[in-house]
Amino acid sequence: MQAAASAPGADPAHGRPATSKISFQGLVLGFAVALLLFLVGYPLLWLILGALGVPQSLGFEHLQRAFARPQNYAALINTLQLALGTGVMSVLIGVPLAWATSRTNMPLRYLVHALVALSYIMPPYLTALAYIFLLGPEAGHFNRLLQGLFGFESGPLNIFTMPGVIFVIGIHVFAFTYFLTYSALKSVDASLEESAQVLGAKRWQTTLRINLPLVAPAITGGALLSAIDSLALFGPQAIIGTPAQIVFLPTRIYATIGSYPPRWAEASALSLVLVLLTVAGLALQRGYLERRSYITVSGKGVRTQLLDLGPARWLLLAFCMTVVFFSAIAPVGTLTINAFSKSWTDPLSFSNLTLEHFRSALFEDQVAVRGIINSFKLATSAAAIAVLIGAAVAYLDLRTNVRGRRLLDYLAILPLGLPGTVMAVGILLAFIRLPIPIYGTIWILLAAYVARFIPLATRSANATFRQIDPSLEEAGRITGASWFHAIRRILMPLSRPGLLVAFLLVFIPAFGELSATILLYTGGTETIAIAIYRLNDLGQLEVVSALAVFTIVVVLTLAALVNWLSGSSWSSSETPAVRG
Amino acid sequence: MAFIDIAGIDKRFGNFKALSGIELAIEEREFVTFLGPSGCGKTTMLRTLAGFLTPDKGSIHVGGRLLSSAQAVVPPEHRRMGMVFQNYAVWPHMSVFENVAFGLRLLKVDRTEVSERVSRVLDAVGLSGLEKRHPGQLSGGQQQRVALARSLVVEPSILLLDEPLSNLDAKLRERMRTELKTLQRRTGITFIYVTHDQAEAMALSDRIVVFNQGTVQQVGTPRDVYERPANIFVADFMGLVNKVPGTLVERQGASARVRIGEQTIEACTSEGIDPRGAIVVAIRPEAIRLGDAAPVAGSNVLAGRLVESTFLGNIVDHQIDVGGSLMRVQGDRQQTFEPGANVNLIVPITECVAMQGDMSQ
Amino acid sequence: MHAAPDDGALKAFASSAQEEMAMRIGRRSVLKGLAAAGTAPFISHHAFGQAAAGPSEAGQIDIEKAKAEGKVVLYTSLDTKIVDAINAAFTKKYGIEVQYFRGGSSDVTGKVLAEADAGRSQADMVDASDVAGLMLMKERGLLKPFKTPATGTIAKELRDPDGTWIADRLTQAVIQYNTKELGSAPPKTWSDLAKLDGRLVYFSSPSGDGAPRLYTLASNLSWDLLKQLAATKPLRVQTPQIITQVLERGERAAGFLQNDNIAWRSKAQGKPTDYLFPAEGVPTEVGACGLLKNAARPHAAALYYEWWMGPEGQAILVDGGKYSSRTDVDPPKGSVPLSKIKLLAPNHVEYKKDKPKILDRLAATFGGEWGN
Repeated sequence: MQAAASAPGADPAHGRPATSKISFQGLVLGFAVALLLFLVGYPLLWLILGALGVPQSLGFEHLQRAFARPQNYAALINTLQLALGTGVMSVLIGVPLAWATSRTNMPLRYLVHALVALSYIMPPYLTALAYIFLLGPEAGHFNRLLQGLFGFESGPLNIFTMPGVIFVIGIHVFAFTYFLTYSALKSVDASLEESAQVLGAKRWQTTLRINLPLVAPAITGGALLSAIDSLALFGPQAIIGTPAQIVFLPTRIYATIGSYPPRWAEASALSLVLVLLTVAGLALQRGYLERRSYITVSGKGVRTQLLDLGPARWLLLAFCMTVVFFSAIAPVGTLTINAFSKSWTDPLSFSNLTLEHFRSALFEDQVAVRGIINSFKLATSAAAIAVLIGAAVAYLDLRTNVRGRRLLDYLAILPLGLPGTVMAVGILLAFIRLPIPIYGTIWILLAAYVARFIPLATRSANATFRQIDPSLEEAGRITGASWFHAIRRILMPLSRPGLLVAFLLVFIPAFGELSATILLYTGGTETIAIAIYRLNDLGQLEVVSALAVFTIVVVLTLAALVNWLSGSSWSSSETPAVRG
Repeated sequence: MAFIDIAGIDKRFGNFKALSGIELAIEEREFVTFLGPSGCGKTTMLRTLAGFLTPDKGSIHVGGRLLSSAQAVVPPEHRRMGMVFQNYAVWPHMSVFENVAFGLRLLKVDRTEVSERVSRVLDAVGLSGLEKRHPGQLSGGQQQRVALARSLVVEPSILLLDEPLSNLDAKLRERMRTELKTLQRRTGITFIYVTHDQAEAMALSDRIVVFNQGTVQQVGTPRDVYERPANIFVADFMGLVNKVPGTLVERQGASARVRIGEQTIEACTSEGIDPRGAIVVAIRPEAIRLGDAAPVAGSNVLAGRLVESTFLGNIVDHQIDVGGSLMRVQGDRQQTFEPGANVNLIVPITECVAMQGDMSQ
Repeated sequence: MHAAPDDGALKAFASSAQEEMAMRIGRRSVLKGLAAAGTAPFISHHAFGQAAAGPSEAGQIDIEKAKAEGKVVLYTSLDTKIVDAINAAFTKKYGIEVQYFRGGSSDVTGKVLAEADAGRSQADMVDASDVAGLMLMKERGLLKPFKTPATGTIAKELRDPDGTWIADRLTQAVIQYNTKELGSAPPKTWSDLAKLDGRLVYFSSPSGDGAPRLYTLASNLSWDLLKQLAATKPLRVQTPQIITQVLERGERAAGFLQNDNIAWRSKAQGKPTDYLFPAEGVPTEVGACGLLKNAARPHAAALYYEWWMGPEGQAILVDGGKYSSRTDVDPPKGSVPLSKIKLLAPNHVEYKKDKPKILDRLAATFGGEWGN
């Protein structure tokens, strides 16, 4: 009976013609699959072809030529340096913080944890902008402070350097290492530590010999993810790298396409290199982690004990607060202060406060207003479509035996390995040629967003459906419900919270997306990120700050919503719980 | 002072009182089991002994030295005890050798000696040859032995074991039981063992401490606790028991006469019985013999009516109505009766323990 | 170059324009090959499908039709503050909305060309300080010939004889400096700047729109000058507006090749900056605009074009500190007339011909991204 209910097509018991049921289910699922292939597979194909010179010619000379040029070679070296630097930095600050918030009795643990999350949620180009104010080599606020305190002639710290780029990107991506290490440390059962204690190990000996080695795979995995993410962050690379005269692969790709005539072959070749780096890193992380992980983050609770650090915990708190000050509080603070100041060069005082920048940003400035509206429209539609496709893929994976569904799953996850810049190049190549005229319209942006964020939606939908036992739907089918009815009345209501979370998980990054948008936008289809980027070019810093604050507020609110909907406490796993 | 002296220990977690007034004296070389249902406080007591918990009141002395009190607690790493955890807590990122050598290395023992002692103890637990393996490659039973070896190699005077066998399958459990007992005899280490399995407790222990709801119900040898339970709870926990309600007719020292329905029997009892309160006579089913109505010296003879018999293979389980109370009797598989038949129950007086009625249970 | 400086510069410009025309045929095949690798066979027919009805001269503009069209889409590289002012006045007068995309000059022309290649032209009118780019657009048949009365006030070297594009402004690349730091001894020549080690700032977007004026300076004076400037490790920013910001903030002491109108505005606002035209010569850039042939809103576009080039629009331009291309319009308030300045004219033909090599050389000199 059960087999009959779950396998599509075999339904003699109800006497309904089997074919009509397959076709409806097949239609819905098939449509989603087709969309997936169209949005992800097709551009990827064009990327590879483009690098080989298609359609002008076919051959490897483009690839060779691309790397003979010193700019491209320098871009590659710089990008690798960046990845290495941010990877190392993420371990240096991420691991101590994770240990502090997960395993000790340091006060204000929740605050530190939340602020690390904030430093990740905040779009990295906003952090970069804020740091130009703070660490500009002569007049940056921090530099001025140091000059005043220590009598330096010129600002000792210069953000417009490679270490500066590593710093700004590092304080964003270290969150990967932090969260992975945090989860792993939380999963170490206290008995593993207690057994060491009983044998005579002091606290620090236990930490060094037991806790840290156990979570070493998570730490390395986090560092790899941090490094991979840093490769793709066009915003900070452009905003800080360009004045510093440092080129990176994404900024090179942007330049080769932005100038006329666009050099597609070179852009594709560079993109493929970027993809190679990303995929290699991801494969390493997955392979390494899976092979050597000692911790399974299961749903079962694990007994943990908090280490009592005594007075040392205040020292640790000072360290943690310093880190989150630089990664979250300072950037948000600077942008907020600028947004509310009449003139940001003047000192902060009550007479200097104004709301006119917000008025300008939200209502008056053409580009800003357009940007806000477009961002909301795009983020909402992209999230809806991505969740639809993701749900379909997840459903195929978990509830059917359709052949090739594994492949589909991989295709849906593939965009994770594609930096936004690369995705945009592929989409440009693909859709400039298509008779469908979406180039230069808002639809090409929508296509890019959906393609980029399908993995998030798929993973989230998968996790949601996984928690709902298939027997619930089967019970419905046996009682006479059609496939669609069972989905609508049983699966959907139960998965609603989880799918809502999936929606928001796509909305949040789509709202502030820059690296793909900058290659695909045109007059009229600007987004908030573009408005910020362009207005910054024009030196309208106060309006930029107002827009930045607006973005942060929206993004924070939605993130808080996700947290609440997931029903998770701040210390538990990331899968959404099923209500009801 | 005894080797381990536990005096007046209280421990509460928030509003929940986990331990109340625990008094225990444990001698060297003893195998003592803390026995009780979940939530009774046995694990809490063990962890307080280990130094992971601070008592609210009371003190713990070991070898004359104060280790725990409400004011100060010597931390676990300085107590020189050993501990085996329920989930073994074997470190997955170290090999078997490294796991076992851990404690020795902390004591700065030199390399050759470490090597020698580890080999010896692995041999003792039957794991020689597996030094280079990692825990992920070992079975549950093998991991259990690694945990044991790790604790023993540093030669503690006290070993604490927190339900170490509960994650093993039945056959393995029995085998490990015997090995643990042998190990304890041979090494002479004081074992303090926590379990909820009364069969295990009886098989292993020199003495059993029965816990319930944070208090000690009885301390005694297995036989004491089984044959002379201090109260209903202990009687019930230690095995099948008939709890027959009755009224106290008269009492003289350790003997009593109890009226059950229309019949009166003689029973053993303890001093603290309150004659006005409800009285229950505890009789183990296997102590009752079904036979004639003729009086037997030293035994009570009760008349009853068979309600139902169940054939269980090696025995027959009878349910018999005695003056309104239902009693369970386990008889020989050859003895069969018809439902409704009149039967006689013969039980030695020493097997009838009169105790306070249903207040604690 | 001893005639009145602006005549001489313009003449140089004119001859380059004529050469440009002559080389058009030869270049066409090269450009075709360069242009959007591989898109040519795949261009949809949309781009050339619609025959653009619409006025071909000022007299044919139908204001009612223009109002019905509802809006104008402009791609421009002009400073937004000036564009906003022009648009506000236009919308106030005609009730037609102006939607614009603003980017660096090479960004603007690049976008128009790329969109045309893809058959997705959006703009009605284009304006950029990239005459070479507009010439290319004309060759590709993207610009519409339009007769405007403004023609009479603009030197013939500064407009296309077929009327497809016309210069609307002239931008001079000056030295701007922070008065608090250098007010007492401002750098008077380009070589003076080379002494300010670590204190200079200049601009170019990653696509290299700061390159033309650097090339003009180098080819008229010397490449060594650029090497010296590069040796001071100048800060590079994306746009001229940010140069001003950096100087106002005191982040750097002086900027080279800054837009004169931006320097003018900063000074007029009372910020601690000032600017000057070095006597050795000042590179000039011509900003030009044109109507797109396939504009979706031809009447509104033409109306706007007339406004832009007409006395009202140009007056707003000058209010913003720009020099108008019209000879009947005054220079900005407090500014020196162009005839008094030694202008270094850009050589569009050479620049276009050697662009990759020039960008490579600039990248080698300054480092960083030049879109090459």
